[in-house]
Amino acid sequence: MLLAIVLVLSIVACFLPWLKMDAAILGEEQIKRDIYGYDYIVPLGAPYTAPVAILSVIGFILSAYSFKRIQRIRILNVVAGILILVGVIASFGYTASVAFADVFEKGGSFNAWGDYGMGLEALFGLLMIIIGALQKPRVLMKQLLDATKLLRGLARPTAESAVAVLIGLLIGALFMIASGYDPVTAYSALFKGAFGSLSALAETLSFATPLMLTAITFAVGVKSGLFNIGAEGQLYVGAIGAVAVGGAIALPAGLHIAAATVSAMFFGVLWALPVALLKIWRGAHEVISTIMLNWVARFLVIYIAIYLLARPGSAEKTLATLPSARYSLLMSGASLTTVIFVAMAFCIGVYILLWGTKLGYELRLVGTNPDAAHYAGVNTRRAILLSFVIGGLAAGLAGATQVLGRPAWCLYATLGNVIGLGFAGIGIALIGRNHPIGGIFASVFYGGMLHGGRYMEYVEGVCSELVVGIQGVIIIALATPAILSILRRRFK
Amino acid sequence: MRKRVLGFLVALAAIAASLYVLELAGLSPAMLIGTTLFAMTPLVFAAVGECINEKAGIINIGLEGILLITSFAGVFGARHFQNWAAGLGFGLLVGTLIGFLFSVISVYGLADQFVAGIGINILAAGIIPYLLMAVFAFPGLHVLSEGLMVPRISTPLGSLSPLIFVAIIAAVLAYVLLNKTLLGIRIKAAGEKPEALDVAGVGVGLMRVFTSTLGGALCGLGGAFMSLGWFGAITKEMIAGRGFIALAVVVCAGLNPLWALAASFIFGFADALASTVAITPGVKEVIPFYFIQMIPYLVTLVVFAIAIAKRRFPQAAGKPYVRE
Repeated sequence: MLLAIVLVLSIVACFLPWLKMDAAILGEEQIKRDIYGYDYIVPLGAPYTAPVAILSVIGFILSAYSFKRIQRIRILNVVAGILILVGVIASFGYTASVAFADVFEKGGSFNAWGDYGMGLEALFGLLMIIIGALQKPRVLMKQLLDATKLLRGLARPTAESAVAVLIGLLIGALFMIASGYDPVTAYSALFKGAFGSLSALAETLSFATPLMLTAITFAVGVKSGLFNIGAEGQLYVGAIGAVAVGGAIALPAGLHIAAATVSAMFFGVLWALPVALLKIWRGAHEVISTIMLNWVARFLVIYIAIYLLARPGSAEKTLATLPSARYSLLMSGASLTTVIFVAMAFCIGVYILLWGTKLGYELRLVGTNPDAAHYAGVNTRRAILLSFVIGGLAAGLAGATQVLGRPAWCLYATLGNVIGLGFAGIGIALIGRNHPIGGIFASVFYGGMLHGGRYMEYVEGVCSELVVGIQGVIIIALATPAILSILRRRFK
Repeated sequence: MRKRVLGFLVALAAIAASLYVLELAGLSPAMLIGTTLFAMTPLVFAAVGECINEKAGIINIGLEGILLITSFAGVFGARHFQNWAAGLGFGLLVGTLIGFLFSVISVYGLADQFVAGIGINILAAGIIPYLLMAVFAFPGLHVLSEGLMVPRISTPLGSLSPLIFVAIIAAVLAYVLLNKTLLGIRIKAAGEKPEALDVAGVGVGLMRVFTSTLGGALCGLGGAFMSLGWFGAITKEMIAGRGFIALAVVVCAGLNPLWALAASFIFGFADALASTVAITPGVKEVIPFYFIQMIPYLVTLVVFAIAIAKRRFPQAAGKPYVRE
């Protein structure tokens, strides 16, 4: 019953902004002038989108939780989950862009985008109602109670991540003070650059796309007791695999994009296999073998990019991917493409695999207690192999997102558009508490830092790579339970 | 043990064979051995420190980051005091500090040492380009003036840095420390049976803080050597995986500092081979530059995969000790 009320309210809330858009109902829309001297309109629906966003988050957690409760996964739930996630991000984008447009007096035309978000919200509400109707009220009540428990369970890891992030930002500020920059202007430029307008936010999401995937590589490794830091090299190889199929071969439209993506994932796995086999056969620790293969991948891919797949006439780039192998742009003025949906679907798929199937259960058991897994008859080698294969698939797909899903549509011979994305995944996985869905949120945060970092460099002259340093501090803080134990006591 | 000797002899034979081939190609073996000694030194410093460290039960995979940070610290100190010795000292100091902080968070903060180590690497990868920009106002690179480099001494193998001999002496001293002194026994006990050491009235944490600080100091000297004694410059990608190659050295050497010296020589030769062959006229037309660049990493991977079998590690390695 309660859930039904929440759902109805959320749907009403979804449609409210549309009502308010009609200026005749509630007076004039505000007209403001931005820093470049252009007039723009602040839609009045803004304040109403925030609760929608919050409701979608609750809905999302509910549906995620029903994955967990109902072991047999219903296809409807899966569809709802994906839609909800898209809706959440879209409506957050809308809310944030409008809110920040007011604060920073900078914005653009984003009504259309907001409408997409609202439409998805409405669709999600409808789906939730359908799901609700399919279940008994008592089950629903129980789910709601469980969900509140889950929310309480989520509070602690979220707070821990937030504290670690704050420590990172604080130490970053100390570095800035020590070298004579103004941290307040720098950080406000950082966040303005990351979330200050709709195009900035779309760019942030575009930065987040490969990061959520490389985070999966590390997170799945941790779940199976491995320290897989090979995403960097696997990503390079995956990217060149995407160029080889997407740029050098002509295929029919629909098939081409799929083939190029699959090729990237295949090459990613190919580069992960030696590590897995060395681990299984020789017991070679994956930290050393992955790093060595990262360096080999780097030189190999540069060689292929320069000698085999170079663009005639401009050797600093590889062949451009053909238009039939490109994911389409979602909006003008930002490099966000539909590949983000593929990436999120992959994350959700990994989540379902890990928490919804026997294979995933075995993988996690090997990670938490290898001895117990061994005596329970789990094939440890298969679990380790599976973990590396998932990692390779994710990293290869991350390579594809940079080549097939970003307007450069190629790989730079210096690897400039892929370098560092694999290592960034480590920190994102840790901030997202080694969870595929947590990784999505963490990647949006860190994607914002990366994108906003460039604006910070432009405004304040602070070298944007400071952001990477801040991530290092966040990782060290997250590694140290003693720093976070004060929180632990509070949330016990 | 016999297998290890055999493996080393095979590697030496391979090195001798490649030296012979290169002499036919017109390269001087003496020069190549000289470069090998340079390439070996940061590996020796980092690996010897890490051997002692892992004997006491602490695994620090942040060597790469410490090398990068301290090579910057060396340049900064040398520039600031206009003196190469002060630069070396500053690098050593910063390395000591990082080693100390790492031990504090892993011993008293019960940190996951792998995660904290990778955190150091990522911190270094971000903060060094930032500092290069903030301090020297040039992106990603700073070249030292000639007078600030560690002076070299001329030998039959060409002019060598005195720090090469310091590294060799450090490896021998570390071997003596671990195997011939009471402190060495206590260090090994901290890694093998921390409970026993605790019962004997020696602080496990103290031992681990000591080894990690010592390891950091040695690594710091290695980093300062990279910039002040060898390259005469710092770039943001100068370390290029040497920290992880040092980890492979530690594993191949079975935590024995003298074997670490031998393994560093092999990996250092691969490094020197790549950097020498890559600029040799006549070779680079046949083998592409990028394939030559892969040599050190492939050699490390292959040697590591062969040498890994049946290596025994201290039982408590990587685990924080909590008294029950």
